[in-house]
Amino acid sequence: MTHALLCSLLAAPASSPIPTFEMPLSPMLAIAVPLVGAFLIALAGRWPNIRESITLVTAVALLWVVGNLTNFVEAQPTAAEKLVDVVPGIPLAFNIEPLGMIYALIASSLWILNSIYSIGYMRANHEKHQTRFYVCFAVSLASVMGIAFAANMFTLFVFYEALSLATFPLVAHKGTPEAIKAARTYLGILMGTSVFLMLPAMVATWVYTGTLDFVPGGVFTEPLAHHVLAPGLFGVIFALFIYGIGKAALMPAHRWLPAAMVAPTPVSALLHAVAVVKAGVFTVVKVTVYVIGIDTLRKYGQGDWLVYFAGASILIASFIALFQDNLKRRLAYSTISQLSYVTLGAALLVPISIKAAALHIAAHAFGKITLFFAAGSIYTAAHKTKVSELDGIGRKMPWTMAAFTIGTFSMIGLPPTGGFLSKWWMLQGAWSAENQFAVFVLLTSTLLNAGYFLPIVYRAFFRAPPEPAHGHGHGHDGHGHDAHDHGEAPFPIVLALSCTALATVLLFIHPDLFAGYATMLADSLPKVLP
Amino acid sequence: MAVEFPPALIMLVGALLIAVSPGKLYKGMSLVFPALTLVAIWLFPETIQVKPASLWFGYDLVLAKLNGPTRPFAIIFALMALAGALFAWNQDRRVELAAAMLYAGSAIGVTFAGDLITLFVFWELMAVGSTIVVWSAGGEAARKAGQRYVNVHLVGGAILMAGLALHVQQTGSIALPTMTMGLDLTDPVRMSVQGQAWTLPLLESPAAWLILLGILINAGTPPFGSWLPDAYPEASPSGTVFLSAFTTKTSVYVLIVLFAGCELLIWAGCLMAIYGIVYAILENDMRRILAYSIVNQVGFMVCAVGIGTGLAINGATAHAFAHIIYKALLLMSAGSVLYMTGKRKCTDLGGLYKAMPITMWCGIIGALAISSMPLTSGFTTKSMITDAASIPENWAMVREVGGQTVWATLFHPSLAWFVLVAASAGVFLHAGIKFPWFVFFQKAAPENDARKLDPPGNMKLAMLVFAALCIALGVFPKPLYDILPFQVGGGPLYEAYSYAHVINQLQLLLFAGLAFFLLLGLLKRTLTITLDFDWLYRRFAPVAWTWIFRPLLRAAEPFHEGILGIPAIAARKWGHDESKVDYQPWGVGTTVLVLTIVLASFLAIHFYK
Amino acid sequence: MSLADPQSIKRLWRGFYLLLALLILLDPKLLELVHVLEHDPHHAANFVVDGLPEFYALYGFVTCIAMVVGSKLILGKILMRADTYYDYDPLAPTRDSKGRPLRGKPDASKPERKEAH
Repeated sequence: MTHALLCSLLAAPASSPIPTFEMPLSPMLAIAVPLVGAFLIALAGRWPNIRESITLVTAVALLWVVGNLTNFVEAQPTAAEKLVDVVPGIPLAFNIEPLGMIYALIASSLWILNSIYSIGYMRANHEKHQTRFYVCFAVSLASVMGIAFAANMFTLFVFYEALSLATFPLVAHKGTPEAIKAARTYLGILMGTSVFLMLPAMVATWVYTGTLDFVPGGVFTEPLAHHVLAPGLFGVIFALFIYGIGKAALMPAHRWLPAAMVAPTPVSALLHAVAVVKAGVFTVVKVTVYVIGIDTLRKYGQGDWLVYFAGASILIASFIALFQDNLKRRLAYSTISQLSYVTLGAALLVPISIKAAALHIAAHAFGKITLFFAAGSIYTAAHKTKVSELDGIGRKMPWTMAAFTIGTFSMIGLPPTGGFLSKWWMLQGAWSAENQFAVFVLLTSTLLNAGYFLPIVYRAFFRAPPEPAHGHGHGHDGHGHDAHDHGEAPFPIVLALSCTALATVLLFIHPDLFAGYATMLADSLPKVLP
Repeated sequence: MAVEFPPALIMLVGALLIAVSPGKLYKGMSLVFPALTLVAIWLFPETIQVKPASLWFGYDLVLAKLNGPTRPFAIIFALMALAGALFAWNQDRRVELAAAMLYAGSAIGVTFAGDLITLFVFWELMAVGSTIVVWSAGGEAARKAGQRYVNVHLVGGAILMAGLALHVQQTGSIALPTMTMGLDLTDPVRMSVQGQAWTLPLLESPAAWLILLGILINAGTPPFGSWLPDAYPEASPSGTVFLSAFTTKTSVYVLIVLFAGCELLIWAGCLMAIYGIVYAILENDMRRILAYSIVNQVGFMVCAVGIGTGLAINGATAHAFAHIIYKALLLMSAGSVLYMTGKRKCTDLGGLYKAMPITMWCGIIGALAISSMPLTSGFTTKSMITDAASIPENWAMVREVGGQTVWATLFHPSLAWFVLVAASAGVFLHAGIKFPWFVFFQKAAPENDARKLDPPGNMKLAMLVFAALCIALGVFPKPLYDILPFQVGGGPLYEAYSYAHVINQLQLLLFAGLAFFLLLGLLKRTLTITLDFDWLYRRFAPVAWTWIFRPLLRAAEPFHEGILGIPAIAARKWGHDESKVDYQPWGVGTTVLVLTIVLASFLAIHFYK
Repeated sequence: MSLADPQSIKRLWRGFYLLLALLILLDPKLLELVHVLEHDPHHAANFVVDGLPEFYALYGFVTCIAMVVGSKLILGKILMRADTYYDYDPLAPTRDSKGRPLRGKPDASKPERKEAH
């Protein structure tokens, strides 16, 4: 009997019934649903409960659409559906392929949890402009779907910019001078890199290859083979693309991320742990695989520098994180570091490392959102933002800190979390590419992650909470809570973070969903040898 | 009733339940779960392999099966968890017990693992459990020692992971090799995987070196093993008892399974044996002496694994079994002294022989056992190792040079035997006599010593049980011999008691004792520590950072700021307007949540249509 | 017999010496030499020296002396430090390098660091 129980625990989801939709829905529907939702949210602004319901309904509907689309994913991208020819020959077009599916799935599933979390958080902290908040969120998710399902670089660029613009009000939400300044930094770097670096790269691609479509194996093989394009220039185009994707927070284009921490935690959690940053690294992998082509890049030897820059980014960001006392800032630098894992995986240019990069997009998303949820939970319940204030908080907020610990394990790469799986493939990718530097970076990063996360866990559980200084309360709400005497955060917050922590562990036990797409992606790469 | 799941699961479930159960229930659980695990280990069928229903992550995992040395290791691990829980019974140590169950359970998981990934997953979980055990002692010293401990183990685990990743990538297989005996016990064991020879012990690939390094870090091999004497003494009295058993012995298990016959291990083991003695002689803290003693004893096991004959592997396994018992006994004795007197340094101790008779006698039995005195478990087990080493023709590699056969080993193979015998004498020196002498004797007890310092009943019981076991296995070792990995039909597996053997051992030990008492002046305790390799990361690295690297970074700061020119204000002050935050419970009501659940159910139903 | 009594100590020493002498006399290789015991092929000498009488007694005695002398007088001279050596932590100084407590520093917890970028 226990044998059967164990088997069911470890059975791959492939053996469970797959939804049988007859007709594939259009990826454009995935963009439309959040937009419609945004419109309705704006209409319902005066009735908070209805407005929140619409958000949740929209989020569930989006997951439903994306779920439908999962049935029709194949290793090779599906045929593109054109929306409109913006410039002759360059349409807005959408299709489905494995990498985009990973991104869309994590964004849509986590939007639901994040919405539950936001409701609890925004209300508990009496945030203003909540309608604007939820509307911008929905628009951001629409942009995310546009990025995920883009069939060509132009479409991706359009929605990429839309995402920057849609998240600007969210970063500046508080309206304080600091927030506005930070939001300007945010927008400045993101738009600056994309307009001045990514756009020229796109133009160059169009000029030399005549297409902006995403094609497995990249679009540069012909021009390079016929010497229309010099390998050096090809390398420059690649570099322009990489640094043009500012959302991937590759150092030194990373400053926008700590700046964005001025936003309320739900923003930091979904957008800057999942949606925006994942848009960045997703685009990096997508461009590397479908525009540049990993075999092409390896053949002409133009991609080696990225391994070292990504590795340096990993180490430096982690190192800086060691010294940050503000919890969200520490998490921001950790995010920069972890994003560079994905970039490193793309830079190693072997199928296993691409698989690892794709899986890490998912593994990191679940782990990091848990950590941010926990940070917001601590802020909401205990009004603490600094690591040095967190002594003994694990006794009072066990669920939050337990989830935080699971997120920590995922960052370090310990079993039984998803982070272990992507780390395993990443190591194999590094060996496959015969790059010992990458192996060294991964090992050192393990140590650094432990260095700035484990002390938090220790403080929370093994130190006694500081003595309350005075006895004054902060008002007499029904339960008489004050800053020094608090319990767990409100239920929606705890629910959301427990779910994401559980997802992190589930990703380890049942990796086949995301690992399957990652493998599909690797299988789609043409087997061309240099 | 057949047990068809990994027995480790029982212990892991127990860890979880101990952590969350109310009141004092956890104490009973801490005894019940190890006992149940012990039963499960005993009932685990010989030939089955517990596997998940389908491929996991693309791999064919084998979650549990009986490898050669699995049973003896798993049994002693479970027994150790039980005894440790008994020893900790009277104290309020819920977190430590939960962590210890996780630790012991993961160790058992490693022994039952049938593939490299399962082995590694449990290996990492062990690091988590043991770190929490160190930390739960409380206090600054334990915090810092625990942080250093977890850092070393995470790096070691990462190195092991890198090695395994490379190995799996190169061979495409996660299978563990099968070990079979050679022609007889004196023949080197043969390791093969899926029909082909297993080449890891030959250390011909970077993967093999990385895996070996990762394991040796956990085994406590110098220069990587200074975490052991650093962290173990900082744990609580009961914590150190738990810590002493699992990490190092699991490393020995994994070495047996993956690297039997690897020549480098012989010399690593010899180094460990001598290193442990030398540092223990210099040490003042009684539990640090015992920690270095662990390195010494594990050195014997590692050397035996390197020798790689059937007798040597049996010896390593039997020695591990006996060692866990007598080392735990010694640490319980030391732990009792610490618990009752609060003192840990030899300079502060002594004169306790009247106040703590039971502790003293148990300590003496443990000390005799570790010294391999005849009639104790050490004698019937460790002798296998020295015996295996004594005939190099059986195991040492040879090669032809100009028509002559010469030894192909790094050093002359007889060195191994001589070092092991010297180490056997040295054990008596630093653990056999030094420990009881400085802790219980050393100075005279007061005339009418009315102090009753023997520890509470549960601690005494745990010590007495293990002391009895030490003697029992010395007098009647057959039950242990019967579960060793390599058995021969017809006749006893090993004969420890022969006239020559007993007399020679007594000579070795008692003349070492003579040396001890003659040099007692030199051995006087001082308030000192001896620098070990951890000096590199405890003193050298922080000083280099403070005086060299950090000033350099600071000097570069204006350059860094100027180039990017982004005001730091936005980045420095964030979070929320802290003056106006109010706490209020969520007031949306259940409507919205219900709506979400309904929609999610709709989604789920659709999926299952 | 009290261990504090010098007489008992003397008696213990005498007993010990007696035991040692007995072991010397009962040495198997010695007994083989004088034909009291038969030559035991199972315990034949593997290396030349361990076939000599009293080898184990001498070896135990000498190696232990060597180990004590080597560790105390050689290794110890180089590596021994006061046991407060590691109390000074350059990263979280609560004492200066001579061990004197620094003023106004909280013990143990990491001090606030300059916020780097």
